[in-house]
Amino acid sequence: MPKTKSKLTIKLNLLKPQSNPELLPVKFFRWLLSAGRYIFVLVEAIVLIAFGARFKLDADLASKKEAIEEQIPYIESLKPYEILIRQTQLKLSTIDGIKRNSLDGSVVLKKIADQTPASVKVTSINIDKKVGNITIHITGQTPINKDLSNFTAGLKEDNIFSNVNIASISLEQGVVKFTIDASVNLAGLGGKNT
Amino acid sequence: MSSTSNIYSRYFTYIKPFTKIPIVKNYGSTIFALLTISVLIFFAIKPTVETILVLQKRLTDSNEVLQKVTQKANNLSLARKNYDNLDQNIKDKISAGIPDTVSLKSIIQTLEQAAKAHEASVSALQIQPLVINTKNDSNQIGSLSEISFTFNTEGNYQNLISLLQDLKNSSRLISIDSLSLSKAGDSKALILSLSGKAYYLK
Repeated sequence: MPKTKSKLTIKLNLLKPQSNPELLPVKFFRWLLSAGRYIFVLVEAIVLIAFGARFKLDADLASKKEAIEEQIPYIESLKPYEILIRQTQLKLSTIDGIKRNSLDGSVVLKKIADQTPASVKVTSINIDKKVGNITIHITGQTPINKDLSNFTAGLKEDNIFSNVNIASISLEQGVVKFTIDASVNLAGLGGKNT
Repeated sequence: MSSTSNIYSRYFTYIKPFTKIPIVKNYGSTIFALLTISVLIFFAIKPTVETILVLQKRLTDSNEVLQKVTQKANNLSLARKNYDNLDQNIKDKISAGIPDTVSLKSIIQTLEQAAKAHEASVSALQIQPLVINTKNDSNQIGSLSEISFTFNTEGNYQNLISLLQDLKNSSRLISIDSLSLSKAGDSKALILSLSGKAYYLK
């Protein structure tokens, strides 16, 4: 039996560094002088720009504040005028609103009178203004039926009246007693007034 | 000591130095650079940028305030000029229309004079209860208040129509809420009953 040949194994690391490996602090300094340099310079630049910008912004802000503070005493000195002017404006707008929307009784009464036939005797007229709506309630009497229909037709034809209705009607001793309800158009009334 | 070490050397585990780990060796500087950038961004650049943004916001606000203040000053100057140029009669009319006090006297006078001028007799004049407060601080703009009243008068139709027209054009602002016209007994006279409002600045 032949004698087994002993194997010779050689471990050869060809990548082993020939020089001594660098120490960590040395590596850190090398990094600081290469990539780190650019990072720090960039950060420094940004911080310096920000510093300068802050100075400029602070100066701008101070000048604006000063300009505002200069205006305040002037505005405060005009405060009595401001109150007076605002009150006048409030009064004017109120007067305008009320003049536009107020009930002009004389115009409504004249319009009713214009449409009233000679035989119709109006015994009472109630005009009531509620929010944006004027209602009228006419009570009267007439011996002629046709005049009542003429009266209501006349009211219906007039632009300022709407919803003209005979609310009640009765015949007493040959006299027709009636009640008419209607609404008054504020727009039509305003138009007539102006 | 070394003999003991030799005895147990077969139980030892070789721990490679941290710096020699391939990933650390290859990417160490990059990782460190990123880490440094992150730290600097977080602790140096972020607060600075935040400060600048805050300052810019304050500057924008200040600009807006200054613009409004200047606008207000100009408007007030113009308003003052316009108000001063306003005819004194117009100012008086506005003040008479809506006075700064309750001034019940002027309401009563207006109603009475209108009735008197048109030969109508006043049968009733009732002013609804109202709370009269002392004048507020003169540095504040007043609010509008109403005085409700009921006014009954008797006269002929034409005179009552004229009376209504007079009230509409009276110096004291009066708004009529409701009116009622009815015959007074057997005479030709009519009774006009109206309820309305006058205004004043509280």
